[in-house]
Amino acid sequence: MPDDPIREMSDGTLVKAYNEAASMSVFCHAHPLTGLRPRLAAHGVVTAQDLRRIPSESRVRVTGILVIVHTPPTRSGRRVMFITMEDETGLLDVVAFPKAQKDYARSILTSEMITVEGILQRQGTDGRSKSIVLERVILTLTGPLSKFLPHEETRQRSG
Amino acid sequence: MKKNEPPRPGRARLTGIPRQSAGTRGMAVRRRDGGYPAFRGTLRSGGTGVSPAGFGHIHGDANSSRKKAMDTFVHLEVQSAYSFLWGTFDPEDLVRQVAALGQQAVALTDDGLYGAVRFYKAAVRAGIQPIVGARLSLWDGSFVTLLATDFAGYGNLCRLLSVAFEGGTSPQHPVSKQDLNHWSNGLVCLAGGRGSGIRSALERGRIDAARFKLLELKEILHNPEHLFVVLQNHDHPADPGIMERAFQLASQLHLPVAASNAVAFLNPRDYLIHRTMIGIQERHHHRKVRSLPSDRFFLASGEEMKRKIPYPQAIENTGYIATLCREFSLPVGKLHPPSLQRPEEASRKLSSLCLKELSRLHRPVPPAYLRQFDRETAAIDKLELSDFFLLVKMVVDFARNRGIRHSVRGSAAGSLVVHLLLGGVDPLAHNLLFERFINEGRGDMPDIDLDFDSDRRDEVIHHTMNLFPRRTAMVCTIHTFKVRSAVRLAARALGYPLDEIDRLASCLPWSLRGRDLNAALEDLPELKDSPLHHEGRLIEVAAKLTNLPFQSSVHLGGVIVAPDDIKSWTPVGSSPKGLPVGHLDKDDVDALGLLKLDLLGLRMHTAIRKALEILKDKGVVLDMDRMPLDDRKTYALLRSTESIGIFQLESPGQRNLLGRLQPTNFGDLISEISLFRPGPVTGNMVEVYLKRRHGEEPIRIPHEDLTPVLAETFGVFLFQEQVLRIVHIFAGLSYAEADAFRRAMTKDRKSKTMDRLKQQFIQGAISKGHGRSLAEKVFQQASTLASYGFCKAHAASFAHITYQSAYLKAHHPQAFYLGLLNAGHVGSYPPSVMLNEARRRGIPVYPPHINAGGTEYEADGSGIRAPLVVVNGVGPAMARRIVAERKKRGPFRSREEFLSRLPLPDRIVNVLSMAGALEGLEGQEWELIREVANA
Repeated sequence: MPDDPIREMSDGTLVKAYNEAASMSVFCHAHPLTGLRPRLAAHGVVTAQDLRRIPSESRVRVTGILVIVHTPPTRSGRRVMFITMEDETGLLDVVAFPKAQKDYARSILTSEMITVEGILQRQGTDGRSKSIVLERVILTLTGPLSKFLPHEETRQRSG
Repeated sequence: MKKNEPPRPGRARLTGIPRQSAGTRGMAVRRRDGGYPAFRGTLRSGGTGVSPAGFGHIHGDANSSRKKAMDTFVHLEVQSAYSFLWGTFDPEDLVRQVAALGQQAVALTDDGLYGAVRFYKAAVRAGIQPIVGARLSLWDGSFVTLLATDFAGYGNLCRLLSVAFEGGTSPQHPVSKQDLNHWSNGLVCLAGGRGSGIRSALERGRIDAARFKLLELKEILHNPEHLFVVLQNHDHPADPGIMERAFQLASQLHLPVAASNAVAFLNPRDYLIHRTMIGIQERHHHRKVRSLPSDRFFLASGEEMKRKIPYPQAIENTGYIATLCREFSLPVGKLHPPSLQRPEEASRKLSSLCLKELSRLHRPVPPAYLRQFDRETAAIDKLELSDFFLLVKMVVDFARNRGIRHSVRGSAAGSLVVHLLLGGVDPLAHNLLFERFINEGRGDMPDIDLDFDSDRRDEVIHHTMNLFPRRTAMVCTIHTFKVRSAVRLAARALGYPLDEIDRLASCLPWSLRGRDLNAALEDLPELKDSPLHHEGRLIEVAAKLTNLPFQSSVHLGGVIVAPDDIKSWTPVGSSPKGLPVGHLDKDDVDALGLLKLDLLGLRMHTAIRKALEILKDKGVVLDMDRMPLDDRKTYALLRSTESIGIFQLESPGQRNLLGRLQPTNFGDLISEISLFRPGPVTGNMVEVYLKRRHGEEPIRIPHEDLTPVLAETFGVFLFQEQVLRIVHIFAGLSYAEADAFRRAMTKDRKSKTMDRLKQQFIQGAISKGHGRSLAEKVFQQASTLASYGFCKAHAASFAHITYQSAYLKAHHPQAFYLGLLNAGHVGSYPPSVMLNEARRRGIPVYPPHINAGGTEYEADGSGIRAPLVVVNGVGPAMARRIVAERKKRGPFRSREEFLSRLPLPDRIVNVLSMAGALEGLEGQEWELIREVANA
């Protein structure tokens, strides 16, 4: 038995994820964050699924692969960034208002996987509509994660 | 006019065109029949009489002519940005500059007619005489400029350009002598300008060669008296000598002369933009092309032209030529529908078809349907549109017979006649309004936009082309520089290395939505540290390129059906798929009142079709178009917000709204699609709607008369149809007036118009017994709604597809995902996100493998097998080779056997190995994985 079964398991998944990321446009075995979850959890990072049981207005930290950044036109002309990320349990919707954009717009637009912190907003029946209002971007991409990322462009940034 | 016939007295009078004259003002006013008149401005300052000045020395009173030429000079050779990557300005800017210079007319002579209609409209609005022409390549490799003197001449120009554009969307072929002879009636020909064989011969002193070419042209042209020899001077030392030789030769041949500056930019400083465009052609498109030699090819004033070209007759004749072209007009603003049969015959046929379908769908037919049918057919008959409906039915029937999925989108879905003829949602069942689609007040052709399975849409387009041979062409699309492409291409042209270009363009959005590049660099935080800040010249050039057209292509699905020969209306080239494509974009087609069918491709139809095929293979046959719209499992799925892949409802905003709206019926889907729009979102209507929908706030309706209109949306103004109904019911105006009200509120919103409409509405409301304050309140709400409301018929039509896709996802998720993954790019999310969701929902996802699957995603038991093409470097051709070999000689047993049967590059083998596509084969090792694991 390995000394640290969780670590071994997650690293095995990570290796497959690395290979898939380096060789394909999709992930077949698992989402790449699956293998990283124990270490992310240790840093207080919750999943999209966890958000269903966390009260609204809580400060949360999530990590995800960036899927879409959308900046629809608004009547006021004020730009709002709607950021869709994905972890192994589902989609994460993050909203960045101009104040947050000031510090983090470039990180958001140039990264492939980020960790963000913000305030959870839950609306609707059972709070099924969930979004996170961005406070800061924490790209914890050093250590084990960066080794397994498919691209070499990752860098450390802090808020 | 026959050959050698002198110009007719009267028509050829050279005078000025007063910008403020009654005739000029009249240019901006449409005729009662909706058309613009031909240009009737009278030239201002007298003239030389009945014929052109400058037959050598015959009319050579230089002193008297010089004064008159000051006001009458007309630029006749002008190439805008619609001569792609050559000219540097929009036609609208040209018109503005011409007006600023006090000139009375101007020609646009691009390589094609892509900018002609917008130029014509802009010039007419500004009171400038528009002359439409083109620069044409001839059989001997030289060029002439042709100008249309009337609409027949315009048609001939279109035919000549069609020769030049044959087989492509850029001019590729020279026009032959026979073509020019055949189609030169109604055209003025300017010969001897830059790039022509005549000028080249004159430059080299080969007078005889130049004489021969001119005589040849004179012989060929239908109107030889409309042949002019061009004099140009761009301050090159050789130019005066060439001008003099051209003038002398013209005199000897009794040909008139005309001054030209071969304009490619409005101001000399834009020469840099021209050179950049040439640089883009050279470095990006790898074309061999030379820029103009100097900054002198600009829109010079008459005074400047007189200085440059000291031949008064040549200056004066530009005005004469403008007079020759005075009868030219484009039939803008009039309808030109095709006619297939007599209106009465078409009407009978339409009614018969509709009633037959009505009695098939409803037994007995409810009276409400019969009343609606009578109302619609009466309006259709009055506007003589039966033919149009039958034409569209011919197209849809083809799709039906071939099993091609299709649907109607837009306001047309509100029509019972459309429902009966073409299918789609039942307008009575969903309380839709026919008058939003057609009413007696609309002067334009109605639109019936059709969506087809994307993979099979071309079949429909080809069929439509075959139905109306020589009368159809695809609408073109003009691509303009967006800021990002402008920066990248300008940098390329200016010689920046590629990695530097990547650095400069980093974080630049594709579009700045009205903001200019300088403002974006200041405002957008992600550009705060952009290296672009230090590249002043690049910024200047990119900013000027932004929004200029740079190429044409084929509209996604717009098909023009002309009333007669399509080449009377537009030059016709050819798309890469071999379809005829015109030089008219969608706005041009609307302006000319031509019928445009939008035969669009919808990838969701493709996805649904593929999903249904998979289910059929498993013995599950679904009739998606006839199934009830009340499936509980489908709505439960939507309420869960797990809507990735569901048509229209997968965006972050829609997912959020699904969680809050919690739809339980089809009406909720219509509202959901309509609510998530900029208007309702920014107007806080969503919050109000949701609270009322969930009973958290009382429903308020301004007056009981409006209850039938607003009850379905809990008193919230949401649909455009509600505006029409409110104006009709509350203020007593007709639906035609109500629709005019809606359109004015949407597009115009000028205070004068608004005031007039407000008075009309309030007077109408008062005459119906309502108080003024209530009338003002309702007007305020209706006018606000008009600016943001969504077309309910369109939403209902889309909601039907939404429901179908959601039903498949709820009941047959494996087939649903496979359909989506194999339908090309559907919706907002990449395949990886769909596969991740499939895996989360319990559907196993298997990696591509050389012994399983193929070129598409396939069902593998209860799971999904990824195709070989997802492996980096493995394209469809290679994947097909692997699959074909496997099918031919059986599965691959070992890595060595695989390599012996299919010798592939090591790089590909390694990447297949990493992807797991060789897993399980004998001899397959996991070195790479181990390597990474140990890193």
